[in-house]
Amino acid sequence: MIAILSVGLILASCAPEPTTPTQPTAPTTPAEPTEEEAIIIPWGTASCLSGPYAAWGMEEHYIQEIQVDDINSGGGCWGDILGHEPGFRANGQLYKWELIAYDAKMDPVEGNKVISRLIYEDKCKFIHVFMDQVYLAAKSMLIENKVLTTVQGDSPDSVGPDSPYTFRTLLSNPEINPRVYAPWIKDNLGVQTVAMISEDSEMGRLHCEHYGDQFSDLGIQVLAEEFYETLATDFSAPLAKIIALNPDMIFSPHAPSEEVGLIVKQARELGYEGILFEGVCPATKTLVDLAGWDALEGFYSVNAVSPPFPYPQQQWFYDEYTARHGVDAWSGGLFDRADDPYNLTLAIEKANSLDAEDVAAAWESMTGDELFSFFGPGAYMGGQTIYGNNHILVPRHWVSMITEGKEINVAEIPPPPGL
Amino acid sequence: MLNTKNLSRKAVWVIVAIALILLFLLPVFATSKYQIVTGTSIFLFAIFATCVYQVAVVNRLLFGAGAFISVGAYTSAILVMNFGFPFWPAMLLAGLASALVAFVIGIPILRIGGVYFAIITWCLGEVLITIYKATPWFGGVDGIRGISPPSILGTPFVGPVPYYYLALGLMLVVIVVFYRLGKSRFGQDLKAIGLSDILATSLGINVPRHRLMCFAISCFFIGLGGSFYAHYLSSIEPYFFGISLSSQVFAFTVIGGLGSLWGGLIGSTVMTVIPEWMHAVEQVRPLLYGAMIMFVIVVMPGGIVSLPRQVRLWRKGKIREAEG
Amino acid sequence: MALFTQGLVNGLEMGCLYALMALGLCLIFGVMKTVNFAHGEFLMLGAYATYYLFGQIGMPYILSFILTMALLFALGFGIEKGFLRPIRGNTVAGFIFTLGLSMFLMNLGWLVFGLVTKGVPSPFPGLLQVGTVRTSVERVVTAVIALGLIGGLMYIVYRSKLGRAFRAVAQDPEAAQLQGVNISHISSLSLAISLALAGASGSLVACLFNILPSMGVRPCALAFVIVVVGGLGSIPGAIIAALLVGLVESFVSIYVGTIWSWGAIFLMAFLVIAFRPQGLRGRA
Repeated sequence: MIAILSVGLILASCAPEPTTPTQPTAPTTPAEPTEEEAIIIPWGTASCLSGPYAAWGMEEHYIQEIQVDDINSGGGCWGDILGHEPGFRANGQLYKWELIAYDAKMDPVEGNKVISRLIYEDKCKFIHVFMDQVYLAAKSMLIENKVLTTVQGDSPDSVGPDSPYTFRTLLSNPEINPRVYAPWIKDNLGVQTVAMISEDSEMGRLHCEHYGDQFSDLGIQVLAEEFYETLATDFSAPLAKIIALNPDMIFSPHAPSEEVGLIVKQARELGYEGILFEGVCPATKTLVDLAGWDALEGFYSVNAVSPPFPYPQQQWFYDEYTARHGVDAWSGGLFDRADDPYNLTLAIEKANSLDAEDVAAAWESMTGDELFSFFGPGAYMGGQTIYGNNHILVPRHWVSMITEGKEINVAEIPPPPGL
Repeated sequence: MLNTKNLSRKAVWVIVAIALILLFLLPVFATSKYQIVTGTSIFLFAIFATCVYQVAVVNRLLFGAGAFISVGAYTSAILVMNFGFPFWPAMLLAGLASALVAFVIGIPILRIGGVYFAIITWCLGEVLITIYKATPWFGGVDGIRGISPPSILGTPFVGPVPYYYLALGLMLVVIVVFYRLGKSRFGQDLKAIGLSDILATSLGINVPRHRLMCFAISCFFIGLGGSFYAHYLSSIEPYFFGISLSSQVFAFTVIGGLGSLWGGLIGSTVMTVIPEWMHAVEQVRPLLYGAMIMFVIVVMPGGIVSLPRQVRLWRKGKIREAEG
Repeated sequence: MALFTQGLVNGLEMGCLYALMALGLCLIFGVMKTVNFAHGEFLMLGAYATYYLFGQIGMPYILSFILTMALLFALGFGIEKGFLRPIRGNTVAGFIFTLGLSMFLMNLGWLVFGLVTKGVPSPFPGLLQVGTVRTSVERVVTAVIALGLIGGLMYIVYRSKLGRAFRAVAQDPEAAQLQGVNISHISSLSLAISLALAGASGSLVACLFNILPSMGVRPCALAFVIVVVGGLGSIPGAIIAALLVGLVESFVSIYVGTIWSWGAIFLMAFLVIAFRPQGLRGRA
């Protein structure tokens, strides 16, 4: 009886279910009548729609939605700025995207199920994976099926020659950011001593290590390196130790704004008056909610762009995003995760094929105007010297500061060459 | 009466045999590999959940299964990556390591019952995670990456199908072993302990020793499952083994039926398959786990396994009512 | 030396807050013989209540605090009458049910309150410095409020007729019933008080730290550790254990490293349960 039940249930799971994507993107009918039918191909995402990191997962989802809609309709960015028709072409055939997103909950076992569903049921040849640990668990499946993968996550294990079809356009790279921002700090802020307070995670430790090396090389003395548990809320102990050493700057190399906001708040509460700097993109609203504009006065962050925007694609994206989700949902750091869809589509067009090997070869070879970046011109495909292949987009780097109730752009740094 | 009983027993075995054949042939007639991956996930958790059942036989709630899964996973990964062991001996040693930890920890903690025991296994899990994170030997915060796949006769596993069979095989081994164990003299003693410590002692059973053995054996199989987990995912990080994994396993056992050998498999199947059906309402999916746990515990405290009995009793009640 | 005093102050402040978090759990176990795994989620609800009342609507903080407690008190009554009735007295079933409730409430929180982490401005801003020891006014006020509520609870339990009923039911429900105590009423009341205390701690945490639906997980774990170390059902035990936990956390953070403090607390719990299962002050 019981055996029947269990087997029956397992077999029932085999019944082919209608695949209903969560957010189907309907191709918008353009003004002029199109002569040809576009083939709709799915772009799958193993996302994170529940749990503590769901805020980023959802943001990423919104970003993808906007861009997929834009590509499909030949709108403000794809059409006007980049001069494309609606959709994209490979081998003479017109295509449009359909976005399919499932919740992998940042759990690798769940991620395996979700990605296998995307590959085998939804027949995705292009998949975006949120977070390294999900990617690593599914890596062999993705490579075996020749899926062109984009990863949201900055672990060095997610790129490189053993991930031949994997690309990353995230600006946050532990090996690259420090080479750009540490010299900038040295040249512009006159800092001589720094204390680092970092999350005890792979990314936290990696960023801390690389920034530590860069600071030391530049002659900035690293007084302390304090680590805290991921998603901690009480920083009074590490901050007490750090503040007692009186550093010129307290630096948080890579932590989400829920932690950074509290660090800023508690540091100021404990009377620290030096510079506070974070080496990752901010979620401004969260920072302000937690620390308040006063505590954040003079607070530096990176990898974000604030109005007034120097480049048209930034203004366009800001208008689209705030129109859909409100001004409160905006943060300059959204750009950090926005470069995947256009570059992927451009790579397909350059390759003139949907085959992962062709697209990967094309993407690697894209230069100059062939590439797109929300951070501005000059981005190039690099990473050879660090990871072993050129699958990373190296864009312009930005520094921003919060002052007088708003966030402003302080520096725009051209992409560091030769990576 | 006797005749029909024998008949139905034979029928049950035939059905079980057919079920097994279907499961073995699933990769052949499955419409897509997605079902194979889902099946693998079901069997893996069924292994853990069934071991939790076995510990429950002696009245101990293994809430912190994650602790022992982690011991199995890390042991296997380290033996394979740092010491060059082939997979199969590594998996065996992983099981033994887990059993050893269970044995050592079990001596002080098994005499405590009820909720305390549940909480203490949870504490153990957290302590272990802190140790993994802080020790470079365990890979620290990064954990262990790039764990090589198992291989048979020199050929490494490729694709989801080999893992499916391994998981299925392990699960069947666990169920068969616990089934035979239950029928054995040792198993009868365990059942007596499950009924009442005092009763068992009065029957001459060495309760602490039997309980310890039962716990260690269950954790041995959890360790094997942990080894599979590590190689299946090819990378493990400390936080994988926290409260989330432990409560998932525990929930599966309870929903299937804490008192039944099949509870683990049923719970795992139901709790994996139903959320997979619900991808259309992705937003609401996370609510499912909690809702199902509450529903089952209130409506059928014996788990889904007790459903037929409950239906029968309900029907009998109705008949009696009708009869006046 | 300065660091030591700083650690002492931090530890004691947080210990008071932890005691408040744990007492609700302690009360439930004593009276209802159930462990409430969803305790952290009620703390979370209290935090969100404060977010909306104090942060968004702009109610004065003390008023929002009282209202939060009242709301959770009512919720406690409702839950007990609705859900927990069938499993009352059955510890294992209660454990499992509240586990499901915890998952459910947390995910419901994400759905209803949104995914973004929230915060409220501190209602008691400012720095307090005595010698070299620095702490925020907010933390001191938190500790004072927590102690106040704890004192209030102890008064009720040890000096009032209601408290005598609580203690009677905790000791021996049947005997208590024979004495004319309405068990059902006492159960509901204990859950209501427990949730009110959880909500109060949630409100305090909201002002100190941040607000997100998973914020209850860590406090719940701490509360469990405290209640078990103190002795399930013993209020003085829980208070001592809470201060101990606060101090362990603080000193381990300062002298060893913050990343060890979590493990240290659990190790302490593990050792206490293994070698003294009745806790510091509990009955075996």
